[in-house]
Amino acid sequence: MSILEVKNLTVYFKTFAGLSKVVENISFTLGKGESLALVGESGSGKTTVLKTVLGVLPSNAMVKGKLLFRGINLLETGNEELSKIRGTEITYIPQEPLAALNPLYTIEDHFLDRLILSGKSKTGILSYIRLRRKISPKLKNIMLKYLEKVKIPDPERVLKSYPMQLSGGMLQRILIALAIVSNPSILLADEPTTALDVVTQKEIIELLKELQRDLGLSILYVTHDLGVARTIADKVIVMYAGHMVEEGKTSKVLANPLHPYTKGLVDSIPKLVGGTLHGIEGGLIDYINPPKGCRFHPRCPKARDICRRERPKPVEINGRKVYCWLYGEE
Amino acid sequence: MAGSTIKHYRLKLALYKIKHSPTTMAGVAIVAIFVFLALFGEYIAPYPEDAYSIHIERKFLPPSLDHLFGTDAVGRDIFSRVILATRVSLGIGVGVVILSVLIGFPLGLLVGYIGGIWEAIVMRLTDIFLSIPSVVLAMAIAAMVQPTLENAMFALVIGWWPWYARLGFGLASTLKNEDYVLAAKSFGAGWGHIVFREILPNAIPILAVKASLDVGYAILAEALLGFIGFGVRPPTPEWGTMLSEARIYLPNIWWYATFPGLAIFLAVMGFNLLGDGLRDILDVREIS
Amino acid sequence: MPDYILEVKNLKKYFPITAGIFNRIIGWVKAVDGVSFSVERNTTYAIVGESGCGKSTLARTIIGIYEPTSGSIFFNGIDITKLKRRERIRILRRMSIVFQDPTSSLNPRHKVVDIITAPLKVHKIGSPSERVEKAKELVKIVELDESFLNKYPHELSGGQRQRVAIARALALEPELILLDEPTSALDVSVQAKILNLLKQLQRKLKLTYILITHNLGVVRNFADHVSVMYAGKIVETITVNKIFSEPKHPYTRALIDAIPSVTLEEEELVKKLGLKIKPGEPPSLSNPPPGCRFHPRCPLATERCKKEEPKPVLISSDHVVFCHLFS
Repeated sequence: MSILEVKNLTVYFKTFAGLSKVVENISFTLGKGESLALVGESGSGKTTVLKTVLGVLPSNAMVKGKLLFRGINLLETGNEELSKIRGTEITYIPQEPLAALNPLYTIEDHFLDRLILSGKSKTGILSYIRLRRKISPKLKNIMLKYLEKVKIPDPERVLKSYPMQLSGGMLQRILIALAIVSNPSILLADEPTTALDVVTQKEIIELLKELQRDLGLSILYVTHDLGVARTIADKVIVMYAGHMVEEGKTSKVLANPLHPYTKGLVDSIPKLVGGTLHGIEGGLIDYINPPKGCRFHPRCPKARDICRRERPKPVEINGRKVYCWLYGEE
Repeated sequence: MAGSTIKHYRLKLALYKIKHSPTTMAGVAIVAIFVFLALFGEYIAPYPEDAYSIHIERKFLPPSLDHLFGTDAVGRDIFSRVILATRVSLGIGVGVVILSVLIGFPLGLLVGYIGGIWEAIVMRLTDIFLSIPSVVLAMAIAAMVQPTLENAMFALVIGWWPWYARLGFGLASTLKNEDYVLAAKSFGAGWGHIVFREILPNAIPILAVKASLDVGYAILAEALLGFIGFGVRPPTPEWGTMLSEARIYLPNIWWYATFPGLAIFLAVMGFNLLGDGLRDILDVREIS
Repeated sequence: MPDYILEVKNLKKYFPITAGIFNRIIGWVKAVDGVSFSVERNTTYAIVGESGCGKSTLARTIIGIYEPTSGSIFFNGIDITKLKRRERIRILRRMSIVFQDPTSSLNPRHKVVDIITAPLKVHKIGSPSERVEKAKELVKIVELDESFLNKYPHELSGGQRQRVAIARALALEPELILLDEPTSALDVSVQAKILNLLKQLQRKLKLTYILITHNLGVVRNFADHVSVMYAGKIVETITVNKIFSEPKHPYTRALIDAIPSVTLEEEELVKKLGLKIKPGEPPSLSNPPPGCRFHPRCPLATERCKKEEPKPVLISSDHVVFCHLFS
């Protein structure tokens, strides 16, 4: 059974210059214990999709489609219900660990907030005051347990520390701990290793894979780094300018990309084994007046007439999906 | 997604923000009206000669169609005088701010960038000036010299320039760490190019917001000086002086004080709204 | 004897840590702690390391944004650290730098033409109209249309901004360009085009590059020689071919190991050459560990590593390692 089902998700933003058609017709499923990477460059819409699942879109966003979490459409659920799900069943690790933590509170305080206040839609002053009383040993043990799970050395000291006293790698581990404290079904990760160095990145990715196995977590991982996607995700969805272009098992998609954009992307990466680099001609599209048909056609070396007129329909090839007129017949 | 795909993005965004902010539009309208009156007051006022002439027979007339704001103790039309006073008050207000900016801001920028001993000297100097309330300082100076328009401005500028020095200092201290400044250093630019070509254009938006807010307060300060008798000499029409004359006749001859007071209020509010609007448009977050 | 355009000898850059009202110096951040290397003319020399290892500080010290604490920088045979400021500025015209973030390195209030001609203006080269002509040439060289001259940076995409930054770096006709992570802030598809442009320019204009990066793939694709930096020091200097066939230093191998591979070929290379290291963080630059700075994370560390700083070991004429395992 799939935990998350996204059907025809479309997100537009109302701007002063017009309607910005940022994401159109995204559909995919995320199964239990599965990890899925949303891959794309800037402007691909991958972060917007993540924010829609998380429910943190700005007020000028118009959302259409279905977002089914265990069958419940999150887009049509009231705030009370949503608070029980977001933050507990669906949790999130952000890109910049330092920015996501309050500099005035210790790690222990952050844990307290999570453990006690998660899932409640209304938390008043009284709950805050009650929070400030002594922490029970039971709660302390829970905190230590989770810090150990994410392999933090000297967890007692870390609990009493403030965010800026800790390194980026440590903070990211803490954020992961905070995210799994409620035993979530889905973990949303927004390029969590971008701000970290390569060696720490590897450690964090291995940690996430381990947790995924041990806890049966489903992970939705947003990244622009194809190598990271290949390491962490079973399945990958490649996005371009708000549309899906290819979907399939990560190793297969990267070893043998079908869509011209995916191929261009893979060819653009400077490889350790050498080889010539080719970029992709052209640049970002105008989201207020996007190109008709396939949004990639202005930059596509293989564009044909139909590409300029009609959006490609998904074609299934060997268990993979590709959205390209090169592969389907009209 | 940058504004790269939208032509004239910054301008369009600014106009959009103005259109959707009634307070900003109000501010712009009020300021525009006052500027117009300052420039063309004598063509609008129904009794322009009442800047100076006296008509005792018309004294203390309440507001009517002939005299919209009534007449004062010597029979002068208050409506005309309020309009004519706009030139003095606005002129001093704007003049004080411009002069203070020209004296204080470049100095602050330079010293903020160069730092070192110059920073210590200039900043301690501004500290000294800033520790005396500017109105008290203005009064002290005004008391020592002839009460003319120029001296009134001088007194206010002395108290005002350090604020701009401090603003410039703070901005330069922050902006000097920007990458484009480092880039300029890398191709051998000296402090002249860096402070005035690289840093200054980026400091101007914040300066513009503070300056426009300050014009309102400068007008207020100028009116205060007039009120206590240190402004321009009567009979030159000036809002503060008019208020001071009218004080003793309250509450019976209410129109004498009310309308000049209203003028001050509107002028200050107009510039305030304009400054706030500018801040929103330029999305500037820090103003002292 | 190879023609070295740049020779750095034992360069150090320390930043003071101050405390108290009188700004007493209580310590030093040793961002660059005794770095030496030589760059041959018309080649690309890469300095590789993680953030915080001091590589950006190294670049900025070479180009004169920071004053070196000690050591020498020989540019075309002249020690520029011993020159007076005026002389140094004149000589440093032959060197320029491209920064990592094209958004912040271009003044948002200047038009492109002003950004590109600023170096010419500062050095009083040419009349205003001659400078504009030069700007037109330069935008052509970086493959931008002339119409870009009157645009502002916010109207440009990331790749276009970086091209403007490159055009500016070419304005004074330099011999050596420092590239500080020139493509890290760009999308992958744009990155490839900028790298190809830079390679083209190197051939056409006979340039030498010093490339600062953390991306070994870019090193493979672009550089001839490379030095690996860790905690303010160089740990290995090697040619690019050899780093992907016989890397010696454990940190170099750890860097290779950590690379998330995109293809199967890469994965095998990583498996063959990589080395897993103990989890941890790079050390503080103000209080580095004694002996070899890498020893706390090194799986092959010995007692000697904890006490003695490694001396350079010559593995071959173009391969030097700073590691006790090889002495």
